[in-house]
Amino acid sequence: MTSKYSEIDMLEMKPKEFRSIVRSGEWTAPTMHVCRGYAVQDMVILSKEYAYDFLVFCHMNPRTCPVNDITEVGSPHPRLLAADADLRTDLPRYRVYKNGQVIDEPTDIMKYWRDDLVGFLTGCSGSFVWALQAAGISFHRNGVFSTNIPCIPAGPFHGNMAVSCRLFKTSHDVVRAVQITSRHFLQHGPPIHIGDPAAIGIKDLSQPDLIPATDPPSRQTREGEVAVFWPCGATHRVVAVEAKLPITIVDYPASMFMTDKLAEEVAIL
Amino acid sequence: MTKYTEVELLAMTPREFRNMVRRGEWTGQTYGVCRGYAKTDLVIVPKEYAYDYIVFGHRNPRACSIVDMTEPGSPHPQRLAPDADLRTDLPGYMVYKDGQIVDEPTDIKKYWRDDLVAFLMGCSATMDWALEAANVQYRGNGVFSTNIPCIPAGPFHGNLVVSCRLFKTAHDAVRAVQISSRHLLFHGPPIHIGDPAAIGIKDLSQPDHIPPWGGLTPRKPLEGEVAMFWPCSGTNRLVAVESKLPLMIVDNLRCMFMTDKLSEELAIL
Repeated sequence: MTSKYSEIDMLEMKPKEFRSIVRSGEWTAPTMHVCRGYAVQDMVILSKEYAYDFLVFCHMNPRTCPVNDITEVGSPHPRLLAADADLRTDLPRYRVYKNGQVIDEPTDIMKYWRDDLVGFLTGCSGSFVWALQAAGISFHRNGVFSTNIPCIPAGPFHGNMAVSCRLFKTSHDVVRAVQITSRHFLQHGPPIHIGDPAAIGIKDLSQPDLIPATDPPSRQTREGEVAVFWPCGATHRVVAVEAKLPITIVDYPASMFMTDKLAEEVAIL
Repeated sequence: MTKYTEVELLAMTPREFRNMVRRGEWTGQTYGVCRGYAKTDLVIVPKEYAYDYIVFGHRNPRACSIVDMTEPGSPHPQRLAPDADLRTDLPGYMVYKDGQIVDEPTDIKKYWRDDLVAFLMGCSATMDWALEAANVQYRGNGVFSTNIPCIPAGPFHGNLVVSCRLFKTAHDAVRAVQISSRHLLFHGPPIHIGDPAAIGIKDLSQPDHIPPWGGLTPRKPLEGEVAMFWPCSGTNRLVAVESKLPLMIVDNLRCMFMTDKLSEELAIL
């Protein structure tokens, strides 16, 4: 992605400006390393007909799907997290499913929008990495994996939990990461698993099946490192496939929605 | 009123307590029983309104944190106490029709319908165990309505209702903020500290919703005491009046549902 903005420009940019360069089509890269300190959210859009079951699903699986904003039916404006944003244009890229099949990966969803659609924004662990960085905790981003942990189903929604994996250098870093992420309860909170990937059905840490890490790439743990796993909004993509709704729209991998709220503003401690 | 001593009531298991309530042997308050266990408030609405109610809960998570919900027509809360029956296991109910109280029964079997959905919401009385365990010095001072509007959803609207506690010293107040923050599903930390007038409460000695439990006389803070206010599920009773649903059932004053979960089991830190 070429950009007229430097790395520092992107980190210092405010969410409103970031969303405007996304909306204008200037930025189609991941929502990463931008707007330092601000909370990002995963997104699910589906028709009102299925919205109740989806909310029940979120309630039954609160660690995976912490719902932080819900639009009015037909409205693309998330009033609690960024009232002037437009969910149809303000994410860098989308994935559109029909009957469980990906049919498009557009940079806006104007042509798919309908009056019966409802947008949900759910917490994303991309929000608490700022807090880990602020505490001087270094870690290796190791990608997103599906697990063998079933979500509790609701209506048509079911599927296994997806997790993001981070590798920490020392157990002290892991302890600090548990403490810090527990404060960010609306962004998945503390880890769901620590240690052996096989225990949650992950065969090979160097081969993420949902979102690979790049720069540096996904890998096995090294001597002394500890692998730590958080529930991930990518679960929505798994569920969208399984539920086979007439239409489901989610954020493309790593193309989260940028909110107007600082991660620390919505931390619970 | 009961054949059990205070000590026996505190040592009782939730299942024993609910059975006693179900048999009609206990129609008092859900207080001074089952030490350490989490209590929840109850809201029952027809399925037709359940979506809007969840959205209301999400928009006002500090006031209405939904911890469990039932399948339409089922009175069994799967997550918090699967063998419980919400039609019989609370000491008292309030039945509203079109915003008017029509009945205050000790069971709601005759009102139950196949289209009803029940929600259980965290209750701040749950974190009183933790305050007590930390020897925090305070007294309950009753439940008040405020001038803080909830964010509406569908027909659901109304002002926030708060419980008031008076803390002996600022240190006790600080500890209470820390401890209650861990109990995020039970209203979490206070919504207001200090001047009651700032949230529309005229007289701390005149709670307009519920007097303090245990026969305490509500009063203004004494020299050095700090008044703190927590969101309260009493909000649901106000909302029931304002929203004028054809049918809405809530727990009667201080007649919360006793869950099988320890308060610390559901604490987030």
